[in-house]
Amino acid sequence: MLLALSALPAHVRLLLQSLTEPQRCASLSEPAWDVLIRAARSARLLGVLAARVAAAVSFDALPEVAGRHLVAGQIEARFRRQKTLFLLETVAPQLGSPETPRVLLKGAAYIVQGLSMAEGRLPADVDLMMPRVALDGIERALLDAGWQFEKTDPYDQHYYRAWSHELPPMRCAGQALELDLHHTILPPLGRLKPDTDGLFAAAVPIVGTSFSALCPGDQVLHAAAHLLQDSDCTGRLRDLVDIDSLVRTHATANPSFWPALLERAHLHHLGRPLWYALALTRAWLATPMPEEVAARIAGFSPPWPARATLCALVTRTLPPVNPDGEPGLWDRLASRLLEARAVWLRLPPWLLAWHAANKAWRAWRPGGAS
Amino acid sequence: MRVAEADRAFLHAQLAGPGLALDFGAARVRIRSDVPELPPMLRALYGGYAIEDPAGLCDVTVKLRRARGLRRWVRPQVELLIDGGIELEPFPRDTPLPLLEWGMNYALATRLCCYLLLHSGVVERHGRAVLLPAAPGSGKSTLTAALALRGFRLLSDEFAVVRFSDGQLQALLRPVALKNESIDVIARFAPGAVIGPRFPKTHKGTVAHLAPAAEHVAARHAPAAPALVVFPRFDPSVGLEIEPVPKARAFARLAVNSFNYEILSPDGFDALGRVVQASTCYQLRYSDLERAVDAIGALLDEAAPASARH
Amino acid sequence: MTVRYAAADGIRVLDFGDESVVFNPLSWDAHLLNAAAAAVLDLLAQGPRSAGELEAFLREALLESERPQAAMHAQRLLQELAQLGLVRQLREEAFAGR
Repeated sequence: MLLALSALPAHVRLLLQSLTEPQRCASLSEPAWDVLIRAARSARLLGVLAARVAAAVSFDALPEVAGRHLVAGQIEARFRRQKTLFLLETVAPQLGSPETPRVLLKGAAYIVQGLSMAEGRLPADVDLMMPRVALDGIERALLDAGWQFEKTDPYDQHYYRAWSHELPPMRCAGQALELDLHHTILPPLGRLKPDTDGLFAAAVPIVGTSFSALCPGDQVLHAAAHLLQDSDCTGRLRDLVDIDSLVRTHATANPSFWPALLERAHLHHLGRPLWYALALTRAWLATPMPEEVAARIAGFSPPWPARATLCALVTRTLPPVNPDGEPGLWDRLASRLLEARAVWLRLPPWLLAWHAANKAWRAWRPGGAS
Repeated sequence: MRVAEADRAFLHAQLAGPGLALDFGAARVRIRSDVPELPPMLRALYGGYAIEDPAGLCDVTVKLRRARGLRRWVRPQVELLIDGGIELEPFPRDTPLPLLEWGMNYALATRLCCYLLLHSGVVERHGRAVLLPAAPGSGKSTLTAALALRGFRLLSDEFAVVRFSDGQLQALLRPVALKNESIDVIARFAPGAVIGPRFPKTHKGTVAHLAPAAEHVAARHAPAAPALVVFPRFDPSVGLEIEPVPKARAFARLAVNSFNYEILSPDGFDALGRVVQASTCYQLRYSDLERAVDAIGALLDEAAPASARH
Repeated sequence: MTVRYAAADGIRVLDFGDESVVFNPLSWDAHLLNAAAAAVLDLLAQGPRSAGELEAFLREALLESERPQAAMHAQRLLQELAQLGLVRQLREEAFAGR
């Protein structure tokens, strides 16, 4: 079987099982806790694990050292959550007229929407999607308000603006997180082109705020595409946990979630990444899915060679490294291959060649790489 | 069995296999290593510590190993791994202990968000603790070492570990890292002190470590109540100068000099507030170690116990 | 329409006499405040006040020679506290003829 749980290393199975059945943590031995906490921390899932365990078991019933590290995980997540809310409160005045859509993406959306899956997460930055035509004005307003670009190299700036779906990340004194302004969800010159107008049109206002979020189907598709089209998948088990959480949350709250998800997958041409994401979450996190939906999603399945290859590669790279070991040769090779794949998917071949040449030149020139 | 009672072969086997687990008070650390020079260094500096069950639950696990590939043989290096990842620069092969010590500091500082961690030396007498916050050039470690050698119990030279539940300080007891001239200063200050090997080529100059006294190791689980904060400043041009530091300023200086204050807010704010409210705060400029130690003893005696203050 | 000011929810103050340390519940930063600012914040934490009431409060605390500047001090303090996110403005309709 392609994605068998039994093929995963013991520490990964322990982490996955603890996430899906946190009540079992009540009977874990101390050596098991030791591995679990370290693997969860490596995977940046310690806070999420803590949230799930806290809902099932009192920390007082656990070994003291286990309890204090779960608490540490909750504390780090709580900090990130507050800093996300603070950033949004601070930049809201610079985002132009409230009529211009302000669509929160990923972690920032889950927090502002008050989804329970947000608990324990560690967002690295705040992702906001706005129409491309509005971005120039907003960029100016942010710069005037003291925001600055992380990358100031002219080539990097050009790369982001011409070829990417986002502006270079912005930072501001007093803000712990970066602000990433997007105008769509995938690189515009990439191989898959989602319907950006459709994303905005279906976005759902978040009550009590001036922000909106992608509709449930688009949130799942974005998470799937972001993982499988726009990243090297290395150490990104947490993204898979997000996808599983999103599906469970939205399927419970929306009776029409599944048909809408399939329809949106067709609209955005994101069926392939959706297939991979759900194959992985069903195998590793037991994501519930009605049989008829599974049958229809099978229609998006890639041809066998691609399927087998990618599944083999992500099996090696998505989970955290064994805390008592380190990435082996094959793991590192798998990461490199997936990295190359991500770049391949992001830019057309002619631009790829130009970009690679430029990167090499910048690394070798007297000033060194930025 | 204590580390001093274990023979070299046993230590080597533990380090190469399940790990050598040690309890520092507020945290347990598991050390793994394939560096053959390490066991005698650990015997010298951690001799008084009991060898804990390596299969138990530890707060932090570090692995100090010889570099792979070319760097195993050409200008050989040692690397420190924390849970399978390398987050620190490698060191030359002949400087393993400083990398291990700094690596443990780094791992503890980043993973113990269950306590407020201030960057400070901590000693105590009669259950009342003195915090010596760090700053470059402060001589914090030298002063902390000196106090520990003159009747104060050492809790840590690097971390003030503040409990959220009650604002008490816990020990994170490890050897004191001494640099450059202070190695000789402390050796002269207490000729019987156990100082480990010197490592001349670190990025901070020459580094050596002072082993904690056996009675301090035995007492490392006893908490202490914060009573005095002394911001030290080594200044050869000054005999001894003591200046009170307004508490609000002390709060700010401690917060800025903390490993995790920012992430812990609002619990960090409350915990630090308790420490500052309970303590009198001073700046101490000194050039003579004996005088500084006596002055701190006197300040501690003067500092009113928490219950006596309004 | 009256403009009144209120302390943000969740503020914590450590009063150390001449200076206080204040916890900002939105940014989670801590700020050092002088005695006047801390006193104003303390007053606002008890209930919303108008700028005029704050000016009167400050005038009591200031030295005789500084009292003419009470209005200016009050305005500046409110501005700084608002900028830090420690104080917010409440806009209320004046209650007329109820």
